[in-house]
Amino acid sequence: MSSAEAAVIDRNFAGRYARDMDKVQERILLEQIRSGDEAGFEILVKQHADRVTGLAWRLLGHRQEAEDIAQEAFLRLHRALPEFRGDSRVSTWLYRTVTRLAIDFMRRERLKRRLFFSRRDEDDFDPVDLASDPRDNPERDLNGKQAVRRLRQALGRLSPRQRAIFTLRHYEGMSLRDIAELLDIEEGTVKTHLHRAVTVLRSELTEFQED
Amino acid sequence: MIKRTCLNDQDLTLLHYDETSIGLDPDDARRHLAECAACRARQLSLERVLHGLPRLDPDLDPHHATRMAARVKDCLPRRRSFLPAMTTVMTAAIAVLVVTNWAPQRQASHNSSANQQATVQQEMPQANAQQKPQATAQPETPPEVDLLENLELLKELDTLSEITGV
Repeated sequence: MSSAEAAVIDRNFAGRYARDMDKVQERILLEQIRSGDEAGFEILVKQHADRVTGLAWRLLGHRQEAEDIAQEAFLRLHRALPEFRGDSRVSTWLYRTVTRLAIDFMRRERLKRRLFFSRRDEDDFDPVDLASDPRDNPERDLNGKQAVRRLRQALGRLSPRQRAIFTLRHYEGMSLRDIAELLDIEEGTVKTHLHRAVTVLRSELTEFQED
Repeated sequence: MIKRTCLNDQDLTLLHYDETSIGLDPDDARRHLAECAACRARQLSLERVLHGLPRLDPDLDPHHATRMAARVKDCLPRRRSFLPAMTTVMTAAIAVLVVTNWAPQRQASHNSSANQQATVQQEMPQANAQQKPQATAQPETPPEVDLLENLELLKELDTLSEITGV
């Protein structure tokens, strides 16, 4: 065996070991929380807060709503901890919960809009997201904000499930099999939804097709 | 021109995400893409859109995780305050039970003691009647069921009977 091959094996082993250690640490932390250590739960929330809120924000497009959904997911995790067997990772559990909560939220919002003819639409944007950062190049920053705005509008044309599947695949990099498991649907259904989502986005975002 | 063996839009979308449609071999699909200019052009058009999509970064501040942890902590059921509250409720419940159950019993035992005394005195010989004439004047009361249930009072009655020789 060459030294380069050995280095690759070591690196792989080290990576695997690190992941296993993470899993072991998580299990220990969960045990501590179950035995009444509230500080342990605080550590768990801090570990996952950014990723969970980030996912909720990508799905919903509004900071406040994303934070509310993230908070609800953590509270549900706290309630579920006594029965949490550790078969899946906490991150997987949180991703599943946040995605489902976000889909429910989007469905309720759509229904409300239909019932009350509300103007609260995907055309509305979080002012925090549209605020310009003076440190950046103003022109580039403005173009970037407009691109995000156009994307948000296009994402708003998708069904909540299509939006979730596209976001999880394109922005979160999850495999379609994991997404199917997460949403408790067939992998074939996920593929169909992803294709429909991309078709809608292509027709909405014609400016991105220009050379 | 799209040939019969050409990839459809869904195949191209899935290939972009390193996935394939059911029944389509990924190697066959890639081989076809390399050979077919029409499919390659459609693939490039698709990739231009998907690669051109802006990043969606939430731009969270560095203290977001700490704030979220504090926010969640505020909403959690307070385990520490729960226990004293339960203790207080339990103590109050026990106190109420004690008061409601013992007070009538004490009253009943007090009444039955008086009745017992009266009955015993009624059964005493006439000589004793001179000492306490008011006892015989009281109306005759039948022994109550509560009195029989009270073992202590039965014992007292036995003792009194032995003393008086009745």
